[in-house]
Amino acid sequence: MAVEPDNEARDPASWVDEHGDALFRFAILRVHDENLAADLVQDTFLSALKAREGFRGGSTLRTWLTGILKHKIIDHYRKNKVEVLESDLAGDTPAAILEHAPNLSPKWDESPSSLVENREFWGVLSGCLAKLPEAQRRAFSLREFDGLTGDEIRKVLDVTPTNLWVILHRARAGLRRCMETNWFGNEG
Amino acid sequence: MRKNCTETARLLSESRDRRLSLRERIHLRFHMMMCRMCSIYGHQLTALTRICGEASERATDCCPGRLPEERKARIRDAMKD
Repeated sequence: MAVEPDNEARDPASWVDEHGDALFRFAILRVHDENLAADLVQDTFLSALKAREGFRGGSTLRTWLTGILKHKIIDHYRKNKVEVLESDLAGDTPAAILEHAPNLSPKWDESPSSLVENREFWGVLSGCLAKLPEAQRRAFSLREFDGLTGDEIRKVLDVTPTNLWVILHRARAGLRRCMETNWFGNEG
Repeated sequence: MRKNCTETARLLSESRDRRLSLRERIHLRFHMMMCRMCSIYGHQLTALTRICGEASERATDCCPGRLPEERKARIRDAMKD
């Protein structure tokens, strides 16, 4: 049953059914741990409930809740720092970057909107993100999913600018290689 | 892979996060004209950014995951308190 946005905000009992799955998907794309994602979603609903007087419409309830969740995830990163590993920063080895040398697979040019509507593609993308070392995954998500600036990310992750650039470079190289191997370079 | 390609791959990534120096931009442009592998690499990094932007935008409706029912029940209970 569709609920008018205004009424919906006044009826928190319906929030979990209306938005629980969406928020969980937002979280799982970033944290790759179902329990943690569910905990973050729970915190989001409880904070939203306390703060609901502050919701004035203007945006949809979904957008408002997602904004709260995004901050919960950043708080989680701040409170649970991960060590930046030597391997996150080690000198580039050719094999690390261009193993499965790039070739011109036309699949890379497929429209992003049709890719994300493919469930198998989600499986490969999540699998590849999950394989990245934690520090790389956090930096990459904040940059490419959330669009934070380098300075904003450095404050969250507590790393120097130079280290952040290296971490992002490693993350992109690793994700590109994994996606090439498991999706784009795959003939099937 | 040559040393120049290693440097180029690094600059291709960093150009997404900071403004490169003039010297770095010249290196990048010059090398990309000559090296097919690095221009493909650059093209794929651009594609990766577009795909991730779309994935982020659409995750709430396209991503297959669901909040487990048992967790939904727990959250509803917690919200009643």
